Amino acid sequence: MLIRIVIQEVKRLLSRKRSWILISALTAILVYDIRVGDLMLDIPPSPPAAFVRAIQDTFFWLMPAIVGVSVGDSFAIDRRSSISTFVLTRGIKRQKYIMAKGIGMAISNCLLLTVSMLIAIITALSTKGLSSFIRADDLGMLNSGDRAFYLAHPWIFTLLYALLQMLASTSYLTTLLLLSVWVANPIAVSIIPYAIYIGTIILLPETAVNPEVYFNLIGKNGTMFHSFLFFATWLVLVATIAIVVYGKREEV
Amino acid sequence: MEHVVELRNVCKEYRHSRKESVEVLHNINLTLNQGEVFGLIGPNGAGKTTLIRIICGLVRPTKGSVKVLGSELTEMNAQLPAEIGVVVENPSFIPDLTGRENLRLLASIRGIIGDSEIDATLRLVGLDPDNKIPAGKYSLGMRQRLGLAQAIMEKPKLLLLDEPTNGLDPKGIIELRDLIRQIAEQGTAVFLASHLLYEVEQVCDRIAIIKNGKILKDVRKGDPVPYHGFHIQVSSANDLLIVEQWANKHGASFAKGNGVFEGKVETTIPVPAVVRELVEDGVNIESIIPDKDTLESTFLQAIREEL
Repeated sequence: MLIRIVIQEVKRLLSRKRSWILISALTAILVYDIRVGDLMLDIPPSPPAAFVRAIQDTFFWLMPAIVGVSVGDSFAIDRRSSISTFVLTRGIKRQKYIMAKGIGMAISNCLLLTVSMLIAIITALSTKGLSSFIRADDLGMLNSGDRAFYLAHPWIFTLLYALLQMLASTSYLTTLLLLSVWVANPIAVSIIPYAIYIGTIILLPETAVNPEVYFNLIGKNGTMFHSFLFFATWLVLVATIAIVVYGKREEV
Repeated sequence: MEHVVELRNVCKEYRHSRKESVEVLHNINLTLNQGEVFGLIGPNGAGKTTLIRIICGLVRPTKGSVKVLGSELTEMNAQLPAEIGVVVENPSFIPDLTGRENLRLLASIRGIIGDSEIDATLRLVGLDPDNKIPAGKYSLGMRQRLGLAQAIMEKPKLLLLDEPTNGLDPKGIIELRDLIRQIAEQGTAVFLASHLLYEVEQVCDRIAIIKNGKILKDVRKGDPVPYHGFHIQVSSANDLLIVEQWANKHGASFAKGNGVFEGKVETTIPVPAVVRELVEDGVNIESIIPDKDTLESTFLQAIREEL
């Protein structure tokens, strides 16, 4: 039953026009950054650097908005409509239902981001002729561990970096799921966390609670591993709270 | 025989603050059997919807026991029975999917029916399976029909209907009534909550009146109906005089009515015996209507007693 709900959720979210419009917009921005933005640099970056740069320029501020509006409001929509009632009266436990929703939303989100990032990587590959020089410094504040790893294995680093973005966006998505346990307004669920997120970045720059630090690996001491740990902890913790709280609510 | 629904001393309180709470259901006891159509009638805010939501496990009672299709729902982590169909008040669906797509999504959860059953159910409730309009653009009546379709498509053992006639046109109401009877004849227990006395009276085997979270009265169809006398209309003033004399002779009270040659007699003598005697006395009777309790009068009386 859980798998069936997950499959339906993925189908439903991937059939939404707005998901594809937003992902197209994200892809267009990435492609623009790679094809136009990089040409303005003194030394245009190599393909992996071009991809990582584009993600760094874009994701930390745009991704939460895209995730929120494309898939993040799904549980709130179910709760606001009668769908959650109709699903729960078909003999599924509350905990399983919210878990299935979370998994379905996460898979849909990762599939959408994969499409966008694949196009960005292909675009980056097409910039091959610009320069073979690897601009680690251009990637911003890469710490020494990551810098060495990047220089040794640029494509593996790029792949891991892409996976980190997916993990980060899934963690953010889980936060929207938790909020939807109380708030059944899809617009509020899409927008309020984004406002808080952007507020945190602006008001608390380069602190431990600033997600940009972990997104863009700008911590001086941390490594990509720490970022993975940060988002994985966020994901597990928030998802567990969402499942427990929804299961224990007096009224759903 | 095990009841399909069994509620024992169910109470529900909502806390507004640490000190303040409101009791919306008070010591509710009721049972519902297979094939029975049970009607819950009461004014808005009486607790009907909360009771339905407790029966389908969406709301936990503050006190009491709720057993539905053999499952004790008051236990934490209770698995809700799968064979429940619910029509909530003003149902709504995933707005960007069509009616059929919404039903397919719901049907996929249990995976026991396919497209042919979904299409047949849509036709049964008067919707076109090929309609490509998204459910978000449906009228209230169409959403009501779609809500009913999702509730009955998997042939549930328990069907819970909360104000199911909302938004339906007269034809739709009559079709719904017939459909409820058909479903009950197939063994499904039906729980119908409404504030429309006539609708409940037409279709239910048993009716409970609820107000302020308390069940005030439980009436079964076929129970003896209290009889208070009759209204009579006769052909002439002389006939009416004879009726008055007949009433005096039998110790019954007589009151002239507002219409022409009309009167009201309060008596316990059954109407056939009255007719026989009055005809023998030469009275020309135009019409005679027994004064019996109706659901409406029972409802009003129960509400008044509660006040």
